[in-house]
Amino acid sequence: MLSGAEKTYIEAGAAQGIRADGRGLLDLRPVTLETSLLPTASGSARVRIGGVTDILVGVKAEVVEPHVNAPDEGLMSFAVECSSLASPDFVGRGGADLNAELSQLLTRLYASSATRELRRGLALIPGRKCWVLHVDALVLDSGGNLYGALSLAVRAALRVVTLPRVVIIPGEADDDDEIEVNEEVFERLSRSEDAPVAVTLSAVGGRGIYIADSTSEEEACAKAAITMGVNLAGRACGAVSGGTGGVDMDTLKSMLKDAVRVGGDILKTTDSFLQDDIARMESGEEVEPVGFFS
Amino acid sequence: MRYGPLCRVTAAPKPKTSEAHKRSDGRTGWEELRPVFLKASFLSSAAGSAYFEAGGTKVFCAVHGPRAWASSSIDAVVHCEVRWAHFSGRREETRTAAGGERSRPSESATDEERELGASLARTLGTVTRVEMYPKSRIEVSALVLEDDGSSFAAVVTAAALAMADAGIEMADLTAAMTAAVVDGNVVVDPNAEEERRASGTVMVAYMGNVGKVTDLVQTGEMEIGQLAHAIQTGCQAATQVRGLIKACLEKQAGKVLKKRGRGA
Repeated sequence: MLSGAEKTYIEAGAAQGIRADGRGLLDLRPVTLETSLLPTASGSARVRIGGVTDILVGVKAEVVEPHVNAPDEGLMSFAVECSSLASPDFVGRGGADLNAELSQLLTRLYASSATRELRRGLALIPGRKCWVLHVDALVLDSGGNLYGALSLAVRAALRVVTLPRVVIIPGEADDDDEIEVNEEVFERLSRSEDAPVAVTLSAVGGRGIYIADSTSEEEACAKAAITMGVNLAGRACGAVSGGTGGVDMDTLKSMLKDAVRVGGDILKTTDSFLQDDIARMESGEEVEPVGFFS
Repeated sequence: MRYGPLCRVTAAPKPKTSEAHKRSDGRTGWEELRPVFLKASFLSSAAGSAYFEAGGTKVFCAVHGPRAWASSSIDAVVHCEVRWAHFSGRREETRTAAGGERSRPSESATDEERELGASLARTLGTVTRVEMYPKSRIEVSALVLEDDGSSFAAVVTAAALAMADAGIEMADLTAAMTAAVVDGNVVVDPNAEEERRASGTVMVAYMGNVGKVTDLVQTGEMEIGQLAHAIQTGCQAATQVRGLIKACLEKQAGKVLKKRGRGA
């Protein structure tokens, strides 16, 4: 809950192009990204934005039967849990609706044809065996830009996922093939760079003014918001709107353009970090932990 | 309940007709809508209700309230429940979260139904003058009877009609439309088959008079220019549907007035 004065302060600031923490309208807060911090998961990541929003993601994999409609693709399932540590609103069933919305956003982001190659990489025997990646995200603390932080953490976790190598042993009949999981050789996912990242732009104050990476105070006085998934190709892969204000057409169009630009920057920056991180891990160098496991 | 076409629409102005623009259900233009049927006030127990049909997509919607509700906000709260009937023919892959197994279907809402319910609540919260109904709650429930594509857009349109039918004050009528990219073309009001083939779809809810987009749901992969174009065409088509809602309400009001005139 914000007082009227606080709201006016944020809105008048945005109209002048300045925000309470000194950022410009489309500037992002500093992001802390840490990968492979859960030894029991196939891949994991933790993202903190501005030292407030805190998301932990773990990916587990198992072999299942593929979906009848997509026999040559693997599966991904998403579950988001807003920890009651983050807000008293999440105690009991309070977070259930938000959990559903967050998991549904991830499902939407990863359902598009943009990540088809990533899903194909999870197939083992077409129509019979494939990997399913259970992506579990835990919202430890929330201070705005939940969608952005969540999608970034999931993407980072997927980029560092390693799965045991699977050997297909041909059977006598065509559909008699069996698989053998080699627990000694691990491989990274192919085409995990296709994974999108979500960008939320919130309209505050007057017409045509919107901000990226909003804090929870800014979110509280946002009239409307657009959350859009952006991939490396600069395409939209899943978008939803939020807030109860409505957006006019011109603002909406410029929001879409800016979302792609901001998303592209995020992808470029995190990818260069992740490549260093992966290279370090593969060379066996010690990585200094920075998070709560340090 | 008398059953018959209330108003039918053939997209005007008549789009370019050519063999190349022929669609799988016989429509001849990318921007041509399916025949629409609207009916308000068909449920006696609800404050307002609506039935909306676009081609093979059929949606019921009922509005209950406003009723007293102790909430933390002073303004009215709009609560929505959206369900797809088992037999609606909604594609299985969208009903089950990928990889997730549903033990018994429809015991409780799926994640998607919850998400779209929240989405509908936001749209209706945008158009409704919530400050007129302090400390109260308006309940909206929608059921998709048959799903032949563009079903969530149909839900939003039906809900807008039901809200108006319930006499709830709104800033504008909102109507929704889906646009899909099929084989590189932006087609409006796609049917289920077109939705399946589409590389991306976008649903927009639009307030024609205020000129604001109240809701947007995009799935699949789309280029930004294409997305902007699809939103624009979707909004134009939504404005067309808005006119039909208005016509339906006027007809309904005429009936009520006539009845009252006889009673007096």
